[in-house]
Parts: sequence; structure tokens; C-alpha cells
Amino acid sequence: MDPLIQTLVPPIIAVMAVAVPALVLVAVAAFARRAERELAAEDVSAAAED
Amino acid sequence: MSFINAIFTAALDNNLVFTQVIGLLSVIVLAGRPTEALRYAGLLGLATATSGVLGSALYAGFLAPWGTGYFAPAVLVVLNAAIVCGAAAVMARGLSAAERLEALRRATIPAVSSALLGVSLANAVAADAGTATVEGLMGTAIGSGIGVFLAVALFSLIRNRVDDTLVPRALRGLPISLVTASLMALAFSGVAGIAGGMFA
Repeated sequence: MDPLIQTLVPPIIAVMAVAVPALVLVAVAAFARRAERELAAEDVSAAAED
Repeated sequence: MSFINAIFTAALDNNLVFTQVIGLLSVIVLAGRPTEALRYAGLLGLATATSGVLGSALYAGFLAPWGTGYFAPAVLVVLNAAIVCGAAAVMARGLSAAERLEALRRATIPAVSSALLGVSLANAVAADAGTATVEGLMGTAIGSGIGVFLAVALFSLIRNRVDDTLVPRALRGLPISLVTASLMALAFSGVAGIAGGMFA
């Protein structure tokens, strides 16, 4: 096999193996932030009604 | 047959929680009210099985052949957290904002559970040894998931039946939980070798 491929592929695999699940975690964090914002908006509207 | 043997061995003989004492802390923390505990038991069991299957495939298919096996613990920790948090986000989709936040907060406990890392790393060690077969690795992963589900579900049901007012004051709370866990570990060691041996 080409030595360049042998040198480049392992770090690419390692970085991808961490980056893909990390992207899922970022998406879940965004989902949680949205829930937090919705909760804050609900609190503000409840306070305005009072 | 080796697939079924691996499932039974991992679920009962080598139960991750009560025989190998991996992930016991998350089991005690998650075993709250039985209805809620069953939901988290399902989440943790499914996550353990998924993590075992995906983690072993990732290790044996990509990391080990390319000489990056040393990177496995870091990769598996992030993968496990993504599996649990992703599953919790999907499960919490239809709930109200407050319930969604609570579900995601509570999902961080199984996300860092050592049970998930334990099954993937044990499979990685087996793959390195060269004795592992695909069905053996998959059976171990699925069996470990069933074993963890059984551990959380049974522990929460038994813990719920312990009347705290009859427990001596010094043993209330965590001590009686640990005594309960140790008795369950004894019960699991009682069937060690029987379940897997039936299909050997």
C-alpha cells in the first residue's frame, strides 16, 4: 500500500471516530438549549399573565 | 448456537453489574420509582447493547486494522455518550419543555456509565486475542444489554419493597442499597455457569 495512505488514514479514522459522535452530542445540546429557551419563554408569558 | 450461548453467558453468568461489578453506581442512582426505573433500565440496556455492537465493529473493523487501537477508550466514551444522549433526545421528543430538560439531564447518568465502556472494551480485548467470532462479540454485546436491563429493573423492584422504617437508622439509604446489591450479586453467582453451559 502507498506509504502516504498508510500515514494519512489512521489519524483521519481516529478524528472521524471522535468527530461524528461529538456532532451528535452537539445536536443534543442544541435540542436541550431549545427546551431551555421554550421553558424561559413559558415563564415570561406566565409572569405577564399574572 | 455460540450466539445464544454468548447472550446467556453475558446476561446471567457474567452479568456486567452484579458479577463483574461494572456500572453498579449508575444502577443504584437510576433505581428510583419502579415505573421510571424501568424506562431508564430500557435505555441503559439498549445503549449497552448498541454500544457493544457499534463499538466492537468500530474497533475490529477500523481502529485495530489501522493501528489506532490505542485510541479506542477516547472514541468509545464519546460514542457511548452520543448513543445515550441521542436515544434520550429521540425518546423525549413529544414531551413538554420541562420534562424534556429533565429527561436529558437524567440521561447524563447512563451516558457516562462504565457498563457501556466495559462491554466495548471487553469485546476489544477479545478481538485482540484473536479468539473472538462475530456472533460471539454480538452475542456478548446484546447479552450484556439484557443483563444491565435485568440488573436495574430487578434492583429497583427489590429496593422498592424494602420498608425503610424497618431498617435500622444507621443502614437507611445507601448502606441498605449496597447490602441489597451484595445479596443480588450472591443470587447471580448462584446461577454462574448454568445459563451459558446449557447452550455450550
